[in-house]
Amino acid sequence: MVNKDMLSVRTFSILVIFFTIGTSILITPAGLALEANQDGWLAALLGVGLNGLMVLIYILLGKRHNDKTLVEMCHAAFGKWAGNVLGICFVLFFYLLAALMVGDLGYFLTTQNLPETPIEVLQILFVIIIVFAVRAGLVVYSRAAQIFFPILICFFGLLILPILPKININNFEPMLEYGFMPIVKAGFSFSGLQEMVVLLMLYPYVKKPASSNGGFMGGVLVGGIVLIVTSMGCIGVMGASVTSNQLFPAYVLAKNISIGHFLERIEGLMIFIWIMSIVMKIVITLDASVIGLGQLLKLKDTKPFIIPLGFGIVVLALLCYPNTIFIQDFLSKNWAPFASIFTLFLPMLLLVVLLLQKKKVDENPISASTEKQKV
Amino acid sequence: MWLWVGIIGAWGWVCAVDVPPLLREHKIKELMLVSLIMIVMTAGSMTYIYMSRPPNPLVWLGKWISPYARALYSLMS
Repeated sequence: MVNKDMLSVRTFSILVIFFTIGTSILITPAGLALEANQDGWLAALLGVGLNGLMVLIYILLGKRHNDKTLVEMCHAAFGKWAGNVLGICFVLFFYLLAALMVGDLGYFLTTQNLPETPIEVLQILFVIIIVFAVRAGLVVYSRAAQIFFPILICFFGLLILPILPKININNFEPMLEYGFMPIVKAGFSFSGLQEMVVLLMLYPYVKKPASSNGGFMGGVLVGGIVLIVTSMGCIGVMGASVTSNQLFPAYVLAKNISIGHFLERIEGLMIFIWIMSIVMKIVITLDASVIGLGQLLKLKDTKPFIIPLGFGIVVLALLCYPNTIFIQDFLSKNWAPFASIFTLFLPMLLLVVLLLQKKKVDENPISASTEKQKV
Repeated sequence: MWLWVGIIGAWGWVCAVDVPPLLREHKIKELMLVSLIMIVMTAGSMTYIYMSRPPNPLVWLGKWISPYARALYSLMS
């Protein structure tokens, strides 16, 4: 286990930005354009707003129990048994999420760059890196994130600036042609891909000055702006119909960049940004699962479990990912509602229960303290 | 074939790095748990390698969640 108070607010914000960009930068523009057509960028805006609201819930939870992880909050709110059941559900959700991201990574590389390479090899290689990072600990991978962050921003700028002259404003018109509902639906699906609740497992390890909550929200907003700009770029350059037909529209967008027929084929930058952010997201998610498992089973040292769980991620990714069509269908129909149980409804329930508990303690402090002593 | 390399590599890595300290410190509970996870994951790999149609956890999840998902999305259409 890591010691307390290891991350500065700035470092935590950088982790939040990496986490927000994660898988989303490459795949979300397609989903947004499919549901909301030319209004996909408005849906991205709404999705970032929804994420902001979810983060407000997490901040309130973090304020109430700033020394507890999500699993420990479940124990505090629901007691030993129900708390354990809820904690197991959260840990399994994080683990499934990590496996799906490894699947994403493998399928992206085998379909776009390395078609002759077996997917197992790519997934095993990436999981070895991820296992090394998680074993090295929170401090090490958060410092890696700090080093990579300026590179990420520079590369993103290099990708976005050359496409600005290619944006056709007509591709965004007519606005709100199909009304608000497709935007709401697309925004909801978009926010389902951001699973910020994972970061509540790291929240107790952040130093807590007054600005720590702002750091969480700021990270979500910066990451959200990157995603909104990418979605606008895709729709503005390629149009909504082409964007919605692509598996990885942001990658196709990067292929369009040509500066004076001199600077071309810079989609490698896009691959770099995506791989960097998705690897960081998988590292955080696997670390959250390992921390959660340790707290559920009351283990003093969780390091021996990282390699077996990393191995399991490859297996689960292979079992869950039969082909890209299946996964596209699953993501568009089921993922956002499924994720909303863990990212929205359960945290809200936790918050309400913890607030009621506090109210009860405030109203009757003597009986509450005797109950505590009995426990 | 490559998954077999992965399985052997994972067992080798665990046995070389994690098992000796656990044995030395007599942490039997942790050792059992590590072995259990490794056995379950190896069984999962075998399932993937040898079954023509390996079970997909997302299909089970989809069956369970789809009525709720349809209800939720119907509110937005």
